[in-house]
Amino acid sequence: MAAKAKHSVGRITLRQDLAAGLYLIPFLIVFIIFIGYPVFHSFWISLHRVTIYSDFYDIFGSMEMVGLDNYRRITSDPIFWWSVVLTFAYAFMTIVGGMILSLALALALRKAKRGFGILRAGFFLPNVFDIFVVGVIWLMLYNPNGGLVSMMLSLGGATEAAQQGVLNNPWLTLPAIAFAMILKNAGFGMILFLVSLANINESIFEAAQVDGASPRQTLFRITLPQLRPIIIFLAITGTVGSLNAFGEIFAMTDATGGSSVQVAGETLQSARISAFHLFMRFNESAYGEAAAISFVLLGIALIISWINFKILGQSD
Amino acid sequence: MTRLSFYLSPFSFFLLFAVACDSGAGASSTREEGAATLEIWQGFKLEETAVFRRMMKEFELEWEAANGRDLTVTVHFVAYDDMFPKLRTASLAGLTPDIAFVDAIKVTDLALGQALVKLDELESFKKRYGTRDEARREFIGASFDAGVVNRKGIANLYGLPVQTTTVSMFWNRAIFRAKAGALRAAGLDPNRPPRDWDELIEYGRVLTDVDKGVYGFGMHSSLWFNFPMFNMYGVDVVAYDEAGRALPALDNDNGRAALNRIRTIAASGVEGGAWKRSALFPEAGFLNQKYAMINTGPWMVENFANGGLDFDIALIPAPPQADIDALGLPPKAPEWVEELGIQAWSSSNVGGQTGVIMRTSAQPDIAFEALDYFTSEARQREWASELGQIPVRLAAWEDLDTSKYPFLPRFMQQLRLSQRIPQIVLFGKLELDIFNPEIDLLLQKPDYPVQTMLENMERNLEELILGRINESLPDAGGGSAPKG
Repeated sequence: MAAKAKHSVGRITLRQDLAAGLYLIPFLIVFIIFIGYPVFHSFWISLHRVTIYSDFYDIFGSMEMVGLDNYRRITSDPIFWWSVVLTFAYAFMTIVGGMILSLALALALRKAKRGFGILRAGFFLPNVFDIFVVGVIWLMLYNPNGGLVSMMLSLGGATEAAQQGVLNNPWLTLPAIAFAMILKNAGFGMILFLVSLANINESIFEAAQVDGASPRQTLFRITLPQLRPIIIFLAITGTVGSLNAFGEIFAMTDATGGSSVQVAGETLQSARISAFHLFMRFNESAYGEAAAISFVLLGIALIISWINFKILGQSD
Repeated sequence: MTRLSFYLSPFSFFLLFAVACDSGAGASSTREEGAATLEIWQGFKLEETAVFRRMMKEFELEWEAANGRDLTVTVHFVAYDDMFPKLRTASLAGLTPDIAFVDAIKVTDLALGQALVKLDELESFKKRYGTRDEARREFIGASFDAGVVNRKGIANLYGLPVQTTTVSMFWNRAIFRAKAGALRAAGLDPNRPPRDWDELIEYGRVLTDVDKGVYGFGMHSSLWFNFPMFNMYGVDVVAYDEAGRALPALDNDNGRAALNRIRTIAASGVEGGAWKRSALFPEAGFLNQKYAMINTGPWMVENFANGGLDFDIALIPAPPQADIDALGLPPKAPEWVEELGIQAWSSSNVGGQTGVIMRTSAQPDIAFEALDYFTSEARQREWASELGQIPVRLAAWEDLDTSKYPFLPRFMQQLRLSQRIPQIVLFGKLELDIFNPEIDLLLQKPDYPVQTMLENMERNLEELILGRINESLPDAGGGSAPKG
């Protein structure tokens, strides 16, 4: 009897699986055409090289097969590794800074007080602006000749930095861009934190208060653990966003990748993060190298995801 | 919805989509029997496009009358900066036009990629001009040369100049007038701009008023805007040896002098920091009367005039006499030394658009006739007198009516002293990856040695561009030169 039931369950599962598979076919076809094949073809391109004599009308057909040479060149290219380092630095600044500001705004505006609705809307508003619009606004703010930030630096005594211009100082370029993006995106994190805070049972806070917990203890022992899913979500989307960050760099460095800096004898650009570096290669028709860069970046993204997954797994 | 239609609907959608795409392509390729068609992609401004369309309509009529066949010329507007990317994408589908007006610096890339028709091998060209040299004599030499590309040791003409520009000095007469007394006290004439770079700094010291945010000069730092300095100091950037190998030609006395001159201007205190990122860039600063002098091109005249500025245009300052003597620099126009004095050593770059015929054109000879018609003396006279454009054909310069555009002769004079941009593939890489980062350091760090800059630029130029060109030479073992 038991064996019959088991067999029946198995047959039903198989039929269900087949039906599910059939339902998936349209999606799989779309997936293979628009994602699977392009990914495979990109990898194929990454094993080739466009030459200056490649036929303009058959650029992919006239590429040279170079095997893994593009990967060898990338991994020995200081500009590429510099771009990866900058990407991590940018990710750290935007993710940590963005979370702190978003959380601070959410905690400050969580109560239903008069005027808070307008403030919430105001803080969220930059998030809907196009990144190039925000970039141009910040270019004006950072203008060494009369820009608001430069004026504030002058008033604060940092005259030399103000005259040089924040975006013209190679050590300040990336933090300045990150700062602008933190302010732009903080509203989105604030909304997520507000929703999450509203879902925390008020009795937990009351119990903590009865037990004599300090505000600091309440924040670190109760609020932050309760907000963990949102923090993880913001960390993951922030990492992906940093790997794809392009518009803000393009807009705020006049499409140059930032002012120059010498590191270990190499002249490098202070905001040439990975996505911008990839764009520069693609833009000069170096499709093979650009495809190889994208696969190396994919590898890096997978490693980061794996680390995230491990941390999540341990915690849960 | 039945189960079958549920499963089939996505496929039906894609089938319809595919059919729609196919029928669209088919419709666009339909050609009337016996009639000729030409498709032109151009990136002129709106009012220029209107005049160009009219001229092409006139060409249609004249051609039909002469050949007894119908001709339809279709003129499409493609934004100037988007032309090359659009051609690159369209070429993958084989949908490029017959004629495209491309940025002159892109002709080399297109020619090396076999995208263009060799004009000097066309029957219509041979019939009209005979040889390339004979054709060159009729055009502004530097503009014409932008269409000549040496591909694997063989030079051909791949395009005709259809719009030519150059960079000149713009100076704000009102600012000069306001400081007339101080200028005179310093022994300077307030009614004219400086003639050499040392004099520019002298003028700048008087005109600069830091408290008001007014500076004597606003400087660009990109390679394109620095070519005038390179040209007047005799810096070639790239040279070719007897075997045809491309070699970097920056690390020499001329290169050092040019870069030192750029640094001196930036550090003189009269330059407003216009080269810095997020700063008021030269054109905006000039428009807002913050920079008394800038170097820019004719495309800004209308903006400045509409802004109500009282400005004039002059030759770019020349190297000081001491530099001319030390480097033994020849004048750019020996015949003008008596008339211009030291300004005969002034120079500039040549920009603009080159008309090329794409290799997929079904009627390259008719396309060449259209290009030749537009660049003819009569059309160029109209082009200049109606729009203030610089005629590309020298015959149109004679007795040209410039009453509506008094600045035009100034640009034309500057053009006579100018040189073409070096013929080099991947100009964007040269500018963005090689030159601009180095000049950025040069201007930022007073202790950054010019020699280090020159060595870095030569090394990168060799490694990223020239080495790849040279790999393709027959004596280098053949094979294609890798680009990326």
